[in-house]
Amino acid sequence: MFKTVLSGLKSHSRRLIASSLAVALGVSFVIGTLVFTNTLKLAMIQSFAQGDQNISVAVLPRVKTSAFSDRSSGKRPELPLSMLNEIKSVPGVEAISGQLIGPAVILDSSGHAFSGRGSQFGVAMPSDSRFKWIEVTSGHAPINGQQVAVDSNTLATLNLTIGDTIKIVGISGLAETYTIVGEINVGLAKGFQSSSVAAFVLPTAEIVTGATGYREIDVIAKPGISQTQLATNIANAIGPSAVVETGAQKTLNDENSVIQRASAFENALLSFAVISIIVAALVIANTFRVLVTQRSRELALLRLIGASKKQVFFSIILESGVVGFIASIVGIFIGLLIAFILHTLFKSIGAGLPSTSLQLSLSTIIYGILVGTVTTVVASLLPARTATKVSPIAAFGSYSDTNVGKGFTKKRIAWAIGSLLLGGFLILANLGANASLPMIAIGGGLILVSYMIFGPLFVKPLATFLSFPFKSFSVTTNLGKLNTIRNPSRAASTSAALTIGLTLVTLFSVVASSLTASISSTILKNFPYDFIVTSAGANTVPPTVVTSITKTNSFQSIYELRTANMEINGISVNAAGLTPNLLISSNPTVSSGSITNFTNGNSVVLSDSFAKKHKFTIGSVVTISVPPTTITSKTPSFPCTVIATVSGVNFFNSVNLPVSVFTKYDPSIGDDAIFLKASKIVPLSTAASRLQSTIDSYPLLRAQNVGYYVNKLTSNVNKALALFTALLALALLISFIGIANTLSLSIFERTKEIGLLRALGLTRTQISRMLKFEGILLATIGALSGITIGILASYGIVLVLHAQGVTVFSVPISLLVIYFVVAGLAGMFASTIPARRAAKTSPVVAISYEG
Amino acid sequence: MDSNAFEAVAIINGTKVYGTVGLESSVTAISNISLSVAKGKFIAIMGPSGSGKSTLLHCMAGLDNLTEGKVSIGSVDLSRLGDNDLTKLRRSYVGFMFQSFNLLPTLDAKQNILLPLTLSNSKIDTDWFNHLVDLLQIKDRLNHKPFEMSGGQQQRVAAARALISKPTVIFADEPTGNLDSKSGNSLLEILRNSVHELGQTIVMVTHDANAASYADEVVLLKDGQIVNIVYSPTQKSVIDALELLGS
Repeated sequence: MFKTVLSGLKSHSRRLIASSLAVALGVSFVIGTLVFTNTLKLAMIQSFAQGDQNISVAVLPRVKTSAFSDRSSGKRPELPLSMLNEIKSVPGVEAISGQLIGPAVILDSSGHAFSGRGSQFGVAMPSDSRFKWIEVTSGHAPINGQQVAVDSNTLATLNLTIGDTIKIVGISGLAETYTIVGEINVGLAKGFQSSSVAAFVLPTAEIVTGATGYREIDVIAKPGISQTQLATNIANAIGPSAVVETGAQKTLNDENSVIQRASAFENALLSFAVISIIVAALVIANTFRVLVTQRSRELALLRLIGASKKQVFFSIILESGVVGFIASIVGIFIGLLIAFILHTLFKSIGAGLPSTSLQLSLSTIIYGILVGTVTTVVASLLPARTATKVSPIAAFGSYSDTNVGKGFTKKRIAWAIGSLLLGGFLILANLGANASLPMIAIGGGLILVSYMIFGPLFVKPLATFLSFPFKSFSVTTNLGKLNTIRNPSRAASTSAALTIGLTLVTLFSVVASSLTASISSTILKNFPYDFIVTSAGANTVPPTVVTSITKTNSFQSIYELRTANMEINGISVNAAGLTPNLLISSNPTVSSGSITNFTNGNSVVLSDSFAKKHKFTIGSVVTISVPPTTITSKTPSFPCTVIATVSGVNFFNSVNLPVSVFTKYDPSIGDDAIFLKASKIVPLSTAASRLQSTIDSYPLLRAQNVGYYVNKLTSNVNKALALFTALLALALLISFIGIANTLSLSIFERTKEIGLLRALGLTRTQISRMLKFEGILLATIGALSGITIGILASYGIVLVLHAQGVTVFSVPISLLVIYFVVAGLAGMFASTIPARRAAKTSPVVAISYEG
Repeated sequence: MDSNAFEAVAIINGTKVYGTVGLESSVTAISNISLSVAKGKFIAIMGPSGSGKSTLLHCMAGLDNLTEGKVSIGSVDLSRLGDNDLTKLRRSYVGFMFQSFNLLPTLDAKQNILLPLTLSNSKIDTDWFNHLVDLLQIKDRLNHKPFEMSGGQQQRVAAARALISKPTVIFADEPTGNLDSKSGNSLLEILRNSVHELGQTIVMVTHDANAASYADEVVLLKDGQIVNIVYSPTQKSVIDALELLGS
């Protein structure tokens, strides 16, 4: 049997190339992800180990923090500055260094915030070069308050060298000039990702960053003192408020946190790889279905001469296994190439990746082969079952291409409706606050099953509708249309691959567009302000600015908005502090209570959904606590009365407090934005110029109109959309390979027919045009279905997210039209090779061809 | 162009070699054949397997190129035409019938019949169409797809398609090969009538002496060359000539 399979494979290997490529690409995504993330992991672990190499003992705040945690998400308690001297006097300490980190924005030559790289940090230079979390690579460490060392990537981008001066803005919002004395190396692994980092001497760093504590204190032991012994000494000296780790423990912990963090990244990438694999499986299933139909005579002959159903079944399975295995091997090589390109790309954008060779482990290879082979075998199960149904009598008849289409038996319809309902239920039930991604994926899979069953019903009307504009063109488009609908189930499953990709792309696009539209409509409707003052990057507007603006006497409304992480009855939230009138004048929909008393201190307005979820009622007194700045400082907490719950306004947070409360308990928090309405007695232009001169001394501040603020809020949404679309690109590419594949398979079985058309007088160009139109139709059928399903699905999601503030359902029509047109063009492109081959068909060969 | 105005199709000193000429592996399918078919004639080509009769048909129809010699249809020399011009010539001046009925499965009978006109963007002569479907008795089958028709009906549809554009010549390759004798005879009757009553020219390849007896002349091929021509053939005279060929 195996020999038969191999000879069979050889004879139609050409027909399997395209589908093997689909599997190989799917596998390559998996392999590329694994190799790249493994390389990343190893590089980061090595880099951490390098940073930790001389440390005997590390002291960390009791609250466990990851080395990657983003400071902008809120303040974490730190080790108080005084602890440094406390530890210094512990016996056995030879050298000590505190990691002091805070915001510090470098300005470019035009005086604007340098935005070429990610976040911007100021740090205190370690006192001893044995502390390697920051390393001087050329020049020297700063030795006085006028000197600074800057990371080499930033210096290169700004075209600066040692000896030049540089302007840096700290917590005060004002620019100071420093002399560059050194270049430092801060890797990704050191927690700065692609940030710009400026290192100062400790006292300067404290002033610039406003930091009131250390993130970590590192200690080097005197010779002869063991790590454990020193750790015990230090722990005894400082008490239980901080965690004391030996250098060895810290290295291990860092390694674990790297693996944990990288796994999240890896899983996100892998979920897109899974989509590619599913699409590839569809292409494979389609190929085997067509092959089984085309070989029905051959299979009948096998049955006639004594092959059992089981043998026929396993011959198909074996064949798919061999194809899957070979495709997986190819996929591994393509995957390595992808990883190499990603790695090079990351390096070239200066993500600070330490150089490590690509990590291809044996388990990765086995994983890739398993994924590819199992997918292919599973995809061929149904076609293999169909193959067993070929009756031995069929060997006598001639193979007929005329497909009347499978009937819609009650069983099939029940399956379709059942999976549609169950799938829809699973998705809708698992959206929202406690979303479960696996359940949503299963729901999506079930809807796909019902689409595969119902799909053929839509092929004819869709094809007729889509070819309508081309009707006047000629006989070639009509023939193309008829060819597309002759076998609706094949057309449906071919375009289904594209449907999956476009459903997801459309879903992301519509949800992103609805999110953007909701944000802007709320802001534009509820915030009729002339100017909004914001700060560049993740920085906030210094609290002193409001006072200066008030002094200009040009504005009738000056409303502040700031945010901070707080706890309400122990529940951690990102709370908003705002000028009471900002809330009142925005006229939110009050669900219960009243907001008029918001001006009184110590009142809190909750969002409807948050209040419901945690069962807060009007009039109840809650405890709000502000996280301490250092582990030893007191945790301010105060009672607040819930006065109202609001809905419909997504601009505010779940928990809204009067800004005065913020000022009282943590005066260091700046404003996210200041909303200004010009006074009626001052011309708008005068107000504008007075505002500009007020903020001129703060290089990071910008006064803009509302539209700019909307853009700032929505730009992240659009970035995420672009990323999702890019990650789906491979799945889309595979689905177009599927279209090319179906077309070339059908050319094999239509050779005679194409020859006849040539004999009757269809020119080569016309044959090729006919096939290209088939490609366009298959692609646009898939695209239209995908866009439609995507819009419907995103409508459901927007409904569910209504409570979260997505109040507008916005369909980005022009974007969807572009997807549709691009899909059509890609379909035409996919059919180029099959069309060229078909056009070469000689009328003679066609006529004498034995089908 | 020195072609005879009464000539529908002619091949002059035609040779077709498959493979590279001179190599031992090359096969000479027809060798230095000259044959002229006058307008309004029904010619049958016969010969044993491998005698080159199908190759001769393909070359005369412009489906395949001669290695040497030339072919003309009407007054057009095919050797001077490129693929596109050949295709356009086929659309308007050549009709085809094959052993397997070769209808497009996606089109119904009427669309199949009118396909050559649709391809050349020509006007439909409704009278001619009605006349043909009456003659071929397929009027009640016009909206049927090929798989809904019997073999005889399908071949009559193919005949109507060949006749619809009033081509200069129809090439038929074993048109009755897949038909029972009754359907076969009625089709041959129709073909002969189209020649004698409508002035159509037909070149038919067959191995069936009965089918050949409907033709005006039977050209006998052996080893790629014309060895005999039977005029006004009967079934018996054709069988005799074939036996002579075999000996």
